[in-house]
Amino acid sequence: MKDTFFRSMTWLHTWVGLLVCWVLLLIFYAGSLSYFRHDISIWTAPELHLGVLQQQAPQKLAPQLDKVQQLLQQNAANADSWFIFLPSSRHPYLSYAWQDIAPEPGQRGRLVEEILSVDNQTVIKDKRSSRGGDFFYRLHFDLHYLPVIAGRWLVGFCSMFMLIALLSGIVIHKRIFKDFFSFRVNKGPRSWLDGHNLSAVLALPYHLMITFTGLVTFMLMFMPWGILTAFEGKDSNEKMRAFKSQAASEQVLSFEPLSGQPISHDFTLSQLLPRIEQHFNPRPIKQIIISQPQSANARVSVYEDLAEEVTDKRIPWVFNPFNGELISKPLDEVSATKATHDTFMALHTARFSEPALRILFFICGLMGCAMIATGTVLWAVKIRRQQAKNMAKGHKASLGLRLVEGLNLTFIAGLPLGTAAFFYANRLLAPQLEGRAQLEADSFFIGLALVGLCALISTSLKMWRAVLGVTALAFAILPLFNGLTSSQHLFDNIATGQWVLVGVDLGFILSASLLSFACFKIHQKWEKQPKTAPELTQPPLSPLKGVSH
Amino acid sequence: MPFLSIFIAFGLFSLSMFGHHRDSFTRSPSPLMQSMCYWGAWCCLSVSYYFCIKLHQFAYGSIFFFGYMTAAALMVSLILASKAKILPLLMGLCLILLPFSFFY
Repeated sequence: MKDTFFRSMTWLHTWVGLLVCWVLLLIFYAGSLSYFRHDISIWTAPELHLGVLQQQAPQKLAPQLDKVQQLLQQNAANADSWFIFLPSSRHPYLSYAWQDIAPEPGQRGRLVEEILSVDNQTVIKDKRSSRGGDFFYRLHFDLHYLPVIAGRWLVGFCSMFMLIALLSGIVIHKRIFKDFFSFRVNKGPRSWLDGHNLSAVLALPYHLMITFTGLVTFMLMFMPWGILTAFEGKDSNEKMRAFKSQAASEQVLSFEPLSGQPISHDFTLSQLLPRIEQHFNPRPIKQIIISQPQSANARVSVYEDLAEEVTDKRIPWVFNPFNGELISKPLDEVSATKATHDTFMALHTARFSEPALRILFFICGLMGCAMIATGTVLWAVKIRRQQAKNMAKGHKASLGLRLVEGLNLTFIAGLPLGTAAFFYANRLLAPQLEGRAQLEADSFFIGLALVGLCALISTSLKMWRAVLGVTALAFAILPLFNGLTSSQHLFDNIATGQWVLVGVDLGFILSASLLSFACFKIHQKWEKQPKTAPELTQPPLSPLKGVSH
Repeated sequence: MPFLSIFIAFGLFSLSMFGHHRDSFTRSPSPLMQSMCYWGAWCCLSVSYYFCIKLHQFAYGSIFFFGYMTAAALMVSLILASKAKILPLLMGLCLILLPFSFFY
């Protein structure tokens, strides 16, 4: 430990930040993109771009339910459950799915989903296999190639470090209000420090919220002991299930059945609709699940679209489909603990937010990425400055410094390139190719690995410029590529009001513009450098001035 | 509407600071001017928060408010870093647009 509290905090801030910063950057980056998970999923399915996207219309609900029920009865009469996903703002198309009966107890049956066209007549059968936005969503907390539990522990570990880095950062930032708006450009390392402080302080409420709620998301995994002590069961999984079952039952108000067993096993969902709407009005229906659809015990669970309500509660209204009786409904008031947990979950996932708020969340997420990236670049600059004298004598930079500079290039410039590679793979791989969803994911990491290889060769300004330039070009071409490989191009989408697709294409153009700007600034800096051999191996920052918090 | 007034609020906060005021107006602020900017900024923020809640309910409106604050403060910082002199002009433009945003 250091001799003063301030120095201890500075040491803590530096090392907890540096140790996990590249994994954190990946987590923040994937999390930021996950705010547009459904939009990305639609973009990566060009089969849905024409005649499929729609918004929910109350007058169309009954014919839609009739059609879907007819299709489910034809295709999945013996299924364990039927699912109907009605159009909503984040899922702007009608789809249905069924789950086969589980082959063995404790397992889940195969789930098959199909999508219907706007006129309810055509089933979109040839949709390409792609994880779309779900890839970034899962990457955010599973880290893709790692075993799920190991990935989540690692993400939790990094989140804890992030929280410590944030709190220690607040302590050591002496001029938090005086330097609130300070961003001194073209001042060497000072500019990076300002960028680090600015991106951290301006979005500080977001950074604290997202880190803390991220930890809450996995709290049962990190701290299961209370549940393991209080609940009965053979093993921890059974005890966890018992806890979740009790927690769910405590949020439900059940009613005694008024009538006896039905004579017929037939029911029509559209006839149930007035009863549902009577309870839901004016909220739209989001999802309907019919369990054991061909038995006398069939139950219809209806989920309401909670729209802008800041909660993550997912308790359905359960109806008897034969007589329309309400069997159970969510309690109006839940316990303070449950409400707090739901609110934290909602704040983290931002499922409640409409597009404008999601853009704000996305900006805050990118500021988190900027905070991590500028922090790690700053560390490299400080160390290079310390080693400048030795390097002037002809010694090489230390292994730690070279490692950090290489990882900086790999992750800061590699993540956008990997993302562009993912989108190109989505369109270039044959739609019916075996395992194409995994190949798309692989292409993301291949992009990242290629930049890693470049970093092994050099971390000079020229290399940064080259990688960022290629990435900017790749993003700039993506909207054109979309026009060539799908039924609609950007202007068609504007004309037909397909704002989800327009938004993704505009996002690519904006990314290309920002990366081009970064490329231009690096080019300017490189032009100013004297063209002698040692300087060409300099990192993107010249180690000139003192840096301290 | 809340975004415009939050932008004005953060613009006023920055102008209440000696260095930023000098960058924008090429002269130092008087203590009275600094106080007026500072308290004017707090008033603008309070009004913005009220309208955020009125437009979007308490929980959703509060989240919106924080999001707007981050975006507005970032814009003010970037403007101050690149073209500090246009900040008062942009604040004036926001002030002109503010009444029109009520109709939106």
